[in-house]
Amino acid sequence: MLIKNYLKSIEKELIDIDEKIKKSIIQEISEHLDEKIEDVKKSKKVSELSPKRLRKILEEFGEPQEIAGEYRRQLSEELIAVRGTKKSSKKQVIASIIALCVVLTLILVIFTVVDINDEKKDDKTIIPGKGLEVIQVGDDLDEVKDVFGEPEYIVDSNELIWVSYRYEKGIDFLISNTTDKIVEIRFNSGFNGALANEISIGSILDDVLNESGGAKNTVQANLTETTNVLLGSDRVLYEQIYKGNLTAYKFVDAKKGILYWFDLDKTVTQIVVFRPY
Amino acid sequence: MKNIEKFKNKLQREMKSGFIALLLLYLINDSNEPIYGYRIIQGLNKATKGNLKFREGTVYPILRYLQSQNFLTSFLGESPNGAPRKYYEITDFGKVALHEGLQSWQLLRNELDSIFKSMGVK
Repeated sequence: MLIKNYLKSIEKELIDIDEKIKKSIIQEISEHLDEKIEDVKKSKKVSELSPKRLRKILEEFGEPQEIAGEYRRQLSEELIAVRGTKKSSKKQVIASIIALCVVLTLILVIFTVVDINDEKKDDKTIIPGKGLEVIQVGDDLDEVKDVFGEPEYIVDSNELIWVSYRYEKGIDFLISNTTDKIVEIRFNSGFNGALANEISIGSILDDVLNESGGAKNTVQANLTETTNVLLGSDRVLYEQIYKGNLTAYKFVDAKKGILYWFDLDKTVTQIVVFRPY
Repeated sequence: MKNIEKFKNKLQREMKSGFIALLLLYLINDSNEPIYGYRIIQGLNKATKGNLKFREGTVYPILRYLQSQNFLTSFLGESPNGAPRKYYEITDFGKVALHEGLQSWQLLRNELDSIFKSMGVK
């Protein structure tokens, strides 16, 4: 809650910044805070941080006003869109009307199938290669929003759109910018579901390997090789080495359409579901 | 006294911003692999040994500026913690900027030393 409020304060301070830029700023700040929180948790060997410690982390990061001021100083003028200067084009008006119609239709559909959806929403079983019963790889952003509501943030990079419900639900969706379809669903800390075999966030590496039939291959790999799964994907266990140190483990079972990230304690920190290959 | 504090803060902020930008380019160039924000800040803390006081949050706008000048490129990558990480890499253009920046810094330092010396400032 403390972090969420802090991010909201920065967002408020960035009132005159273009919406898309603002979202990516909030995303990079939230990324930093997540990393730091995880780091402090590990160094203090605790599973949760006290509000006092969280406040210290935020203090070290800076006052929202100060941060926003620095962004304003560094961003070039063309990146700052002054509110109210954008003229609505005819196209935008038509798009808004279409969007409104879509929303109204969706509301109608939601009301008619609300009972079925409520039942489905409660099912938090992770299905390898698919996702959840209620939302799956291959669905689009509108379907994601139907189920989960407005995302906490959206980051639009070159090839992918990152749609995040991380703080409330522990889920991120990666949507292809070319097909507009979900290519990956990522379950993070905060997601309280599990696979049918009971593997979940917090499970241990040995259990994952046992449930998956073991690793066919274990490789030591650098960051790029691990991120892009360059050394194989059929039940391959990656030991990620960064600057000579082991920093994480990743087990990829692409035939089933699932991979797992582990921290140095060999505990699952993330489960990623994608189309099997 | 309040004005002096304000002036000192302004001076420090302006000097720091340029200096940090240069340090960031140096650290990212020095990294053998793409590097993400949190690690860069850890590197900055280590390099400055706590002597250069800065708020962590003020580094990201500078990274953004360096990127807008095509000195850095970035991409979103995976993270074992769950949230996406933004990785940075220096561009060839950035390497030139780093080289030029280091030279300018050296030159400026020499010039300032000589100006203050000629004015009798110790």
